[in-house]
Amino acid sequence: MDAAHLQHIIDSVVGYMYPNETDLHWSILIVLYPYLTGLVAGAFILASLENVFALRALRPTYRLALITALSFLIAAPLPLLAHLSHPFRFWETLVTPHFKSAMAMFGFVYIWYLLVVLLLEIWFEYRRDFVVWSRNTTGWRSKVYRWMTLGVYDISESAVAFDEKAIRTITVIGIPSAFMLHGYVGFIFGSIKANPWWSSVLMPVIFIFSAIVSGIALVMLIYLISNSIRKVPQNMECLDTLGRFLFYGFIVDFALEGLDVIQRTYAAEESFDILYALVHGRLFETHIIFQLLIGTLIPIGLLGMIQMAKVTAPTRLAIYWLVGFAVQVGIFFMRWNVVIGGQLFSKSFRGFTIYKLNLVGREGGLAAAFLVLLPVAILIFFLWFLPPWKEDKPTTTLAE
Amino acid sequence: MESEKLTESQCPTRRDFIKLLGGAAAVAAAFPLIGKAAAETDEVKSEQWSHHKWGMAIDVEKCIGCGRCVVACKEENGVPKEPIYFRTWVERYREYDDDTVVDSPNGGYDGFTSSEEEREPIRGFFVPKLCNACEKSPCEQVCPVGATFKTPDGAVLVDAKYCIGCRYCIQACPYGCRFLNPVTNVADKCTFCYHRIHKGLKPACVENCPTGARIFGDLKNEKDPLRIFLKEHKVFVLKPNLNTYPKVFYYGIDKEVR
Amino acid sequence: MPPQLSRLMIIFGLLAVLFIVSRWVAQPPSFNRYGHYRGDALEEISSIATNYAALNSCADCHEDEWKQKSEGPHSKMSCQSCHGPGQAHVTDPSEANIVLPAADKFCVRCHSKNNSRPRNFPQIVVKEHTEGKKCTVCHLTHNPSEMK
Repeated sequence: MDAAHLQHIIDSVVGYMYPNETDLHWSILIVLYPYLTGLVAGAFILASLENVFALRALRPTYRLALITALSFLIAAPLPLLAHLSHPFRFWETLVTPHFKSAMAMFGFVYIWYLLVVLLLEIWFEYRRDFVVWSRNTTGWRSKVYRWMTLGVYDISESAVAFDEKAIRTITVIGIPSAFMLHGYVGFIFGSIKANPWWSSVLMPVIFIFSAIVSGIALVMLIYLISNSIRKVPQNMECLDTLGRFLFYGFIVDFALEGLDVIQRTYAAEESFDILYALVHGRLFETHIIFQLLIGTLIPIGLLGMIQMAKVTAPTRLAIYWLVGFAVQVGIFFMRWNVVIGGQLFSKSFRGFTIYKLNLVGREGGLAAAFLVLLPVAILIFFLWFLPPWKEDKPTTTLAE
Repeated sequence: MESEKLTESQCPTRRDFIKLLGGAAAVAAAFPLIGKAAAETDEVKSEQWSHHKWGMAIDVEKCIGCGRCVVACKEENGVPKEPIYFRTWVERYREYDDDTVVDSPNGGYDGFTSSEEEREPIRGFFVPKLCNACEKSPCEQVCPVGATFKTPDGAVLVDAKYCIGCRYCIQACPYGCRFLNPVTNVADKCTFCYHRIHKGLKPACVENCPTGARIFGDLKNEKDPLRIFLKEHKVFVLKPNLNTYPKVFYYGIDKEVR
Repeated sequence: MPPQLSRLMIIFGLLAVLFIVSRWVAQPPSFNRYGHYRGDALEEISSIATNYAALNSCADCHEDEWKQKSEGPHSKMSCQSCHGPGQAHVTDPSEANIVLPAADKFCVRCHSKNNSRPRNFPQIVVKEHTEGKKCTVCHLTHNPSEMK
């Protein structure tokens, strides 16, 4: 770190920080990690809703959600790897995992989720298409599709029926796995008793429900965007169902976070004063404005309005666009407030430091932007290579 | 003992296996296959090691805030000189009627100055801080790979060759005793000068304290000065509510110290 | 068994074998010798070289200073507390030397008046006490309670 930057941070300390705490140890990259995994878990749970509860209205987003989850899951470990100061030692987490450490389980949870849940479900879902595409295409594409069939070309009715049965079984395993994938991320923070901003039994549950919210909103947004690009009329029945589940998810998420605040305020433990000062001071913009107002209250209000009152289709559509973006901002800053907020105050409860995001460098803004855009790029590739569109006729469209 | 025998018997098979695999040998060579399992000496050492349990007492009434311990620590352990990397540092507490001011300019490395215009505190004192060598160590608990560990004689160490640099341990330490060493890029912290105590010396901060404010010793030895000090004084540990069971004990601190 | 399932089982089986084998190969030999860590690390850390020499190393060559110090208020202090790490100097005096602290700025690090120091510890208000002179003008360097 250059001297001027260091001096700036030291000069920005208010009150007293333990010297080793002055410069933050977990940066923007660790903010991205729960953000990306949350999107994975949320998108998968959305796909499972359609599957388990047979919500036909969500059919158009089923494959889209699966592909989205996969794209983001592929990118999810990259911020973690990039953040390790010895990234080439990552294999140690698999070879000598320390079973008392929450973090040691990451590799296993990740591999489980990728191989046993997501890839399997996608494989069974697309298997019939692989066979068909391998015949319809030529050149390397045909070869890759053939390779992806794993040599199983049976697409008889009984074989496809087995695929569907398999998908249902995987979904049943998948929902608790998705809860585990993200609840566990919450546990990484919630189990740190040294940090009162993190240490909460509600943390894993809050992470799960915020993940559901962010995942549904992301798929909704991708659905809106892809339809506009493909010039397909927006399917209002599907969007309204998405909006309804987003609203329910939000209600639970908001209630949980509210419960956390009420508990903390009422119990008012030793750390309360410093956390109060944190939320009203150095975390005000990101917590109150971005997370609470833009990311939570406005979307809940708009979605609630749709549930309660009669709102015309074009307005509803506009609201879904708006909510889709607002939720992404809100959930990103929720992760930010957890990760960065938890390090802005001293564990001596006597002062605050700052976090200054550099543009360049391994933990800089550009690297972070790249890691956010990477899953989007992977998604675009998948949308082309594994087109999720099935020609479902929308029952109601914008022109109802 | 069981595990040592196991390691010993595994060794030849492992080597044969690598020879057998040829191609895999190149991959395996990339991983650190260091050291030999020298069972007998290890047994002796392991036994010797568990004969001790190192700890430290800090007599705050004797600390004059000269910061020589901070200097000695950085010199002995090659700790980077920037003011955000400390294995040990000294805090100054000044208590007034209406509030308490705590500071630690450059961790106390340059000592503390007080101007004559400064208002007279009700009470002022210095508190040296270091790794508390917790018996139930939260940093050891969270290390994903076993790069941070508790030794049989009660120190908490970092294996610099094995640490992946995730910094979870830094977050888990309630006392702010850990940092990421910018030179080695691994987690770093006070070791009780493990390399000194195993040569029969005392930690650098202890030997260089001009007033004897730091008392280092063996908690398992009844005649050790540390045990005698702990017998004669009512001591306190930092953040006892966190259930970490520190082996660094403070005499003469008050409620403001966290 | 449907062909999908048998094909997948082969693949998962291969992955599991690959994982177990690579785990077995890659685990450091000394791991788990004493606990969940590399046993060799204990040896490596405890054999790091020291920079501060043993307390009585100085007495052999610097007899006069050692004797003077042992008669004064600094008798229990380490020489290296003021003179810096001395192991290199002990090993080869011609190669490395210890530090000579400044006789004005250094002493006041401990002995200037500071309202946070223990009240019974000897402290001076520098401006009034020294009148701009270096401490060693009046005080015997290694036994400062004696005057020159």
